[in-house]
Amino acid sequence: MNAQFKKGVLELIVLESVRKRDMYGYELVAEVSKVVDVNEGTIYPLLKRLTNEHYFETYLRESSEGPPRKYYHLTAAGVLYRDALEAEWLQFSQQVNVFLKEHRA
Amino acid sequence: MNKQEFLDELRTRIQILEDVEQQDILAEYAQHIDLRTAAGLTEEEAIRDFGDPAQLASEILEAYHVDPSRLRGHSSASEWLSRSSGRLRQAAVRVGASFRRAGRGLAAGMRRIWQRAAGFLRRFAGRLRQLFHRRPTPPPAPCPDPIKEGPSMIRTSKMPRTHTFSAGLGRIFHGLVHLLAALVRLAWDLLLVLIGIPFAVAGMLSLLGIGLLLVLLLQGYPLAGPLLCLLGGVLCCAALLGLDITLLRRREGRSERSRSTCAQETVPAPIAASDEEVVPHA
Repeated sequence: MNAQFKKGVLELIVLESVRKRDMYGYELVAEVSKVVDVNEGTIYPLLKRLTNEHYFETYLRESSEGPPRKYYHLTAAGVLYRDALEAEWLQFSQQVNVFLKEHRA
Repeated sequence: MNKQEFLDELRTRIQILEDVEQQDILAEYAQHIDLRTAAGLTEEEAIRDFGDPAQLASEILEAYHVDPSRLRGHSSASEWLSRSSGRLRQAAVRVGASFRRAGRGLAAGMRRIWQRAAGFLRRFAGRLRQLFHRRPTPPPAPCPDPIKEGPSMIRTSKMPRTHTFSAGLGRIFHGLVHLLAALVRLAWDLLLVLIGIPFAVAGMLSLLGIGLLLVLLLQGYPLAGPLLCLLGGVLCCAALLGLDITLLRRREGRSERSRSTCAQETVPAPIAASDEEVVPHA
């Protein structure tokens, strides 16, 4: 899949994954990897940026094995941002679909 | 590349970030690698999934709005640090030089003030000496008032032989008046100085307060109002002190000027006296 495509949609997928339940980094990477084949390294900087922009809150929770894990939680601002991104994505994909369909016909 | 090498390389590339953030990022990657190896992968395989460490580091820096092209890798980062430390040292040297200049200026100013004060004291002592010397030998009066001097001269010229005693008494009285006037002048100077000192002290204290409040203000305390009040106080004190000093200097200048005009007037005074002497004889 085109790397530029992925980069744009990755944010939406990450935000949507965390909306359902709080996740820690590795879990989130695995979840996103199910949808798009992505370089695992690039998800952590994305999480960092979304946290710096206050769309995510983080907290530490003990795990049964290994050191405590950092969980990501979607903030109210994050929910609004996710909704805006989704609306953008739907409009964009619909326009592209319509365009492709017209040309096929 | 094993886990430690990868983490070390990443650390050198994100050195520009705060220590806490570096620790946080590295801990996350370390945990990811640990969980990957626990799932059965080797460290090398897990790290390969991250891709190029340089690319990864630049993406991390972008998340902090740091332009990665400006600090390409560790070497340029340390270069930047050394360059900025050099600049800092230069600035420190420049600040030191300006302080030294200011100190020299201050010393010169202090010397000038001291010289002027010493001069004032010397003049004052001279005036006092003159006052006390004049009483036994009255003729070279430093500031003979023309209005007062006129009639007394006339009187002495009218009765030159019989009233020398009263003339001497008059001269003593005259000297006493001058002494009194000088004392009043001295008291006025002292009063001005005494008024000036509290204003100077208050101004200095306000400046100190402004410094303190400025530091607190920069730390986020809402102290803009008191700061403005203190600024007003400093300006007020400076204005009053300026007025005080102007009054002092003007008085000093006027007394000097009057002394010089008196010296000129002493020459025509005897002529006028001789004119008066002619009238009664005629």
